[in-house]
Amino acid sequence: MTTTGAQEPEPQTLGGGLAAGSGIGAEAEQAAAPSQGWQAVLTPQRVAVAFGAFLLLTLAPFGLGWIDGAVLTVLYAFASVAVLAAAGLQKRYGLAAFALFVLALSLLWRFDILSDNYMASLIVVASIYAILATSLNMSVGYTGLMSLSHAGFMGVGAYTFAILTTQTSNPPRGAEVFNLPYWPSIVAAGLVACVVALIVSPILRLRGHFFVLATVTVMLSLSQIILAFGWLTNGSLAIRDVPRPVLFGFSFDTAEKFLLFSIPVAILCILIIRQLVESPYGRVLTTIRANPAVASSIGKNVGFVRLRVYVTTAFFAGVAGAVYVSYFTVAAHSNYLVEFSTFLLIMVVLGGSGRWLGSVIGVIAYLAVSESVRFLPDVTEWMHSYASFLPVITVEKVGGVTTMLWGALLFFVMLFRPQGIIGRYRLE
Amino acid sequence: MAILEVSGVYKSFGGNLVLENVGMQAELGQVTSLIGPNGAGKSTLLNIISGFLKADSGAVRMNGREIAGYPPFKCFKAGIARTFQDSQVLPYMTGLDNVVVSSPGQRGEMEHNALFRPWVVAAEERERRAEAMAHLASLDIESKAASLSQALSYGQQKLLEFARMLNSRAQVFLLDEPMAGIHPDLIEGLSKMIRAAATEHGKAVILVEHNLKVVMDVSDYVVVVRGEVVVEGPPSEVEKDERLASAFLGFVSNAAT
Repeated sequence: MTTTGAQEPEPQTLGGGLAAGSGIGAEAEQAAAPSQGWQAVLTPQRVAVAFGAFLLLTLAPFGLGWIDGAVLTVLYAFASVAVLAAAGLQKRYGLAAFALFVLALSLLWRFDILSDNYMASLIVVASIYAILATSLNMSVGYTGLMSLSHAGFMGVGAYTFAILTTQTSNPPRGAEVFNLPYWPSIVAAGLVACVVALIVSPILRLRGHFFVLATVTVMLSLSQIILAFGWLTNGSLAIRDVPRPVLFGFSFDTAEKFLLFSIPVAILCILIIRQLVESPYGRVLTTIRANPAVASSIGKNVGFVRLRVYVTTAFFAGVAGAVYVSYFTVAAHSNYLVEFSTFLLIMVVLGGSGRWLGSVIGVIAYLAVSESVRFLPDVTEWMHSYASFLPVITVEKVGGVTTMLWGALLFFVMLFRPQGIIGRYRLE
Repeated sequence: MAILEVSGVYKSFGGNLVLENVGMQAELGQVTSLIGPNGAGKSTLLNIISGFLKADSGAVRMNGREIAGYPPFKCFKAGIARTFQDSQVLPYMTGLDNVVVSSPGQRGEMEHNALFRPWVVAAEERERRAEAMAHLASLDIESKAASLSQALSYGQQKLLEFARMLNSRAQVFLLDEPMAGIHPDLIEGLSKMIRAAATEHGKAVILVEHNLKVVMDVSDYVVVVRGEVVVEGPPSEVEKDERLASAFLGFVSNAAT
């Protein structure tokens, strides 16, 4: 069996191993940091700093302005350094990085950057994706259930919430306007996603690639069901007028106010998932991923645990879908397609599967890349004005360039850092 | 009464009858060995006892309770622990985690306890980790507690598996060819450990092994299997029995080893 580093990890002392107790394998992983080869060159810190530099070059002069761009870069760079520190990978810089992170955040407020809808919107989307990625990581990274149906459960939650809370009848749907209260409907969205997960749960008996294919089938079916049940979901026409939350008279109607709602919800969901995966329950999940036969020989009911994981992660996906649809006030079928399931998987793998913090990092990394592409037309035009042999990427071509960029990025990640930024496993 | 009783077990794979009317017993504090040529059905019998296979007919009784047909996790709960051929440690988990995970009845493994009673879980976790560390220490591998299991040598991984068994509080240990791939210098140490599991820890050890010297040194009772039970008895008697040699010669099995 291969080790994760280039050399055998040094034995840890009993005191160090037990007293730290910070996550499964974290101490040993740290001891396994190699001292030679490309793995020593591409340390997490350098990756984070390189990322920050990349963002600075693409964002600063274009689109956001120097101050906004610089602050955003500082935010991204130190957010990644801070979360790496929190993950125990660079204890020395942790406190300093966290302080700078807080400073960057307060600069955002000071210079009134959040009044620009773009930043606030980005943070809302990031928090929703964080719920999705962390719950998917619990399934893929911890339990070994490679599921491409996650976006489907998000869609189930989204549409459930929209149907229950929409303020208008949304013609030509013609269905009843239920206009149910906001907060119970969020929970209902999660629960309906659970029920759907239970209904399709027989696919959990399948092994390996067959299971993955089955989840794709589930995903495609859910997409089609949304289209087919037009009397309920309005088919390819969206359900509109989904409300924003109201708490004790305070309405979270603008983007900045909405992030005061979505960030706590995301933190709550992530904390719940963290509590689960860092407990003995989480150890059972890791055991099942490592070797299901051994797991059952030591008393773990593998099939039942897999079911519980699948249903639990579906709940979080449903809740995330509800929050998503509440922000955009529209439930549209096109948001819940297989591609999005793949993007969620990219976030998990890029950040690192098998560590809950990896999915948060993965979301930041994913959004950093996909948002930076937004500024490509301006960047290339500016460069073209100095060197006319350089191509201009027009707005129409951005989509294709994004695809190529992701292809190249994933290729290099798989080649040079298959465990993602702070992952525990190489993707098999 | 023996703690584990197997009787009248028949097992076919397709048209091949691999086990025919096989029965055996295991007593606490004793080592019972199963020996026979490759393909004789020894591992099949272990799989049936531990729930990985279902016998076509026959009884498996643990403490008098019928457990035939139970899935593996239920057999574990009934008090049966097993190892697999080729060491099967859990990769990407530390040595300590590899052992603690077999601790039975951990309340922290249920979501409601992990989420709503973390203090209870934390206290229990401390106890179980200490217990697991004690088992690691008894096998002299406590220095590997925080190392990832795949970084251990093959011999150390075998010891880790053994520690996992000891930690499981099971009454019956099923050992599937533990000496395979072990350096000759280490065989004696491992044999002593197997013997100690029975005499000191009071387990009922069922040993499937090809190394006949180890078998004769360590066992209280030997069962020679070749599709059916050919001869059984204390090692000194079985050693001298002329049926022992013929059991191993000229046996061509259709079943996988």
